[in-house]
Amino acid sequence: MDQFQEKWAQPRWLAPNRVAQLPDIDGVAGLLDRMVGRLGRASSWLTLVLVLLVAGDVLLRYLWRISSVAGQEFEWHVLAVIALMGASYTLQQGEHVRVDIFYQRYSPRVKRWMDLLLPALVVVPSMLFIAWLSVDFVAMSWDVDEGSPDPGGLPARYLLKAFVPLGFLLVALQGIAMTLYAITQLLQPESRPHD
Amino acid sequence: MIDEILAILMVVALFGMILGGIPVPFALVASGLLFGVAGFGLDLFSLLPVRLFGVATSYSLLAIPLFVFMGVLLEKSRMAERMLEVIGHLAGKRAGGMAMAIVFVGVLMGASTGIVAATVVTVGLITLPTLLQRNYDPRIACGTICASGTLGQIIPPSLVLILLADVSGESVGTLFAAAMVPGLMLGGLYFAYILLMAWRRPDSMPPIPAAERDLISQRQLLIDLAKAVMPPLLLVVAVLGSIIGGVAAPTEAASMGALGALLLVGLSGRLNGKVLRETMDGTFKITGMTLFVLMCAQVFSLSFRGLGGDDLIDQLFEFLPGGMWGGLIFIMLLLFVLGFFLDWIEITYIVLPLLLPFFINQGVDIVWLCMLVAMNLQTSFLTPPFGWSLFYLRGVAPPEIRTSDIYRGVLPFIGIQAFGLVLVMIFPAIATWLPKAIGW
Repeated sequence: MDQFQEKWAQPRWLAPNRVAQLPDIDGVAGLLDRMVGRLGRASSWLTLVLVLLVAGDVLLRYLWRISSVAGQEFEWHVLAVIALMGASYTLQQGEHVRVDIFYQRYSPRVKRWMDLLLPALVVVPSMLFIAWLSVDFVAMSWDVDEGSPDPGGLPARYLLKAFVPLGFLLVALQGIAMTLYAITQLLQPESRPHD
Repeated sequence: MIDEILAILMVVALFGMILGGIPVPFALVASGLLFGVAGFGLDLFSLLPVRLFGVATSYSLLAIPLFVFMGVLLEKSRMAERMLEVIGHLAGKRAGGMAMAIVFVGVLMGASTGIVAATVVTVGLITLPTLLQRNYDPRIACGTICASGTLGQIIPPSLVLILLADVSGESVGTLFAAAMVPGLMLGGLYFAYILLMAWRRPDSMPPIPAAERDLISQRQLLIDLAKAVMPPLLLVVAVLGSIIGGVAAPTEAASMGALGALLLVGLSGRLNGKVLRETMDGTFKITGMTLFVLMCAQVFSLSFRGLGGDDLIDQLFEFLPGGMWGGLIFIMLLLFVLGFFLDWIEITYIVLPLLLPFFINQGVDIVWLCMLVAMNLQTSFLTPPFGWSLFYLRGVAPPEIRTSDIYRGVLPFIGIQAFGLVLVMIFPAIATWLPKAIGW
């Protein structure tokens, strides 16, 4: 029971159970972190755009029987951008939850190593790999000048597809920021206040 | 044979990583890539971008940001909070009135947001201190809040149901209609339990003192009801009604709900830059997170299928005794336990697609199965020591509330959940009647 009491002293969604947000730091890591944050905050406006877009489409269609293929395609274009831009922002904002049954019992040293190894070995390589795979996917679309197969649809589908490599690249960049920060923490452990 | 060993190792590695503290989406990608490349080399993944793009542009998922926007806006603008206060006051005359108000608001917020964390945190923050101040038994207070919060999982428009529809190939409208009766039934059972307790142990949930009630006149209360409760209630009823009644597609109705919420909040004078920014940020994060997990799950499932994991699952079910019921009980226990570790997104998107073919082959009604799954997940979110709902409440509960109060408080509600689940198991019509009656 005691260990549960101790665990419960910390709300689940606060720092120890999340992949923590980086503090305000200088250097490359801080630069990358702030860039991902800014891009995310800017992209969050797309949620309002999406609401107005779909609602406008519905109203026009039901009230005045006006419908536009391009407008409807634009709706899921916006969704795709939200999804792909949101990936890096959630990581930057510390939204990723971890199961902490064992994690909470790791020593501070082990936790610092995990803070390094998770981004360095998992996040950066896997996200870069997916981004690299999708470059071809965009290139193929570019080569045939792909547009919507439907009449009246949006042209230049490769622009939308380019958000796949971009989105995963941004997650990787945030991973690089996390790696750099973790290295500085490992080099000077006494400066870390939380332990 | 080597492939199958790799498939098993891949599942083991996934769970090892998750339990070790790696966030689920990254554990999915890491195990998927590692074992996929080991089994097939890089070629296996040449189709991955197409699949990722498919998830990101999926029309059925378009409803998610719209529903989330509506719910987060009602929460951030404190409309939900105001609603709770008014209903609490209205019901405060009798013993257990506040608790019943919480169940009622849980149903309403479940119908408007469908986000368990938001409901539990909002209701917990607002009501728990008041309840304690009024000498409510802390266990009953905590149990009611946690349980009512999880109703959002089952009462449409829940995000769980949207994803379940996507996975099972049923229409969102069908599942929404199917979840109405079981969801309301659970709310009703909660109500009955509170009435029973108020009758047996009235001092455990005292009414609001008359002096405090007299501060607000009956007339003022009715005005508050008309201003704070009716508009969001009507909005939610209109949105749900138009989906279940087949008037509007879920995405269309969701957009009207979000627009309606914007209008309501605007008319009430609560719409400002801060509320709007918080709403957009919250919606963006929840949507981004959900779709990111779905995309990462593609990596895992691509490898798992490639390595013949599907056949393994088939063999596993053949191995189980008892045919359909044996399989059903197995999957219920499995999902219940998985619900401790995984969020509902991973369960519906990774585990279910692997298990569904068996039940389709057995001729099981998939709508019914989806309801059982949804109720099951909801129960597991409520079960100590790992239930997510309990963690959320612990985070906002005042320190004098002991963890054991929360644990013991939810026990009767877990009993109610189990009872409800068994009812739907024995009488599938509870779930399947409404969709059939309105011709889905």
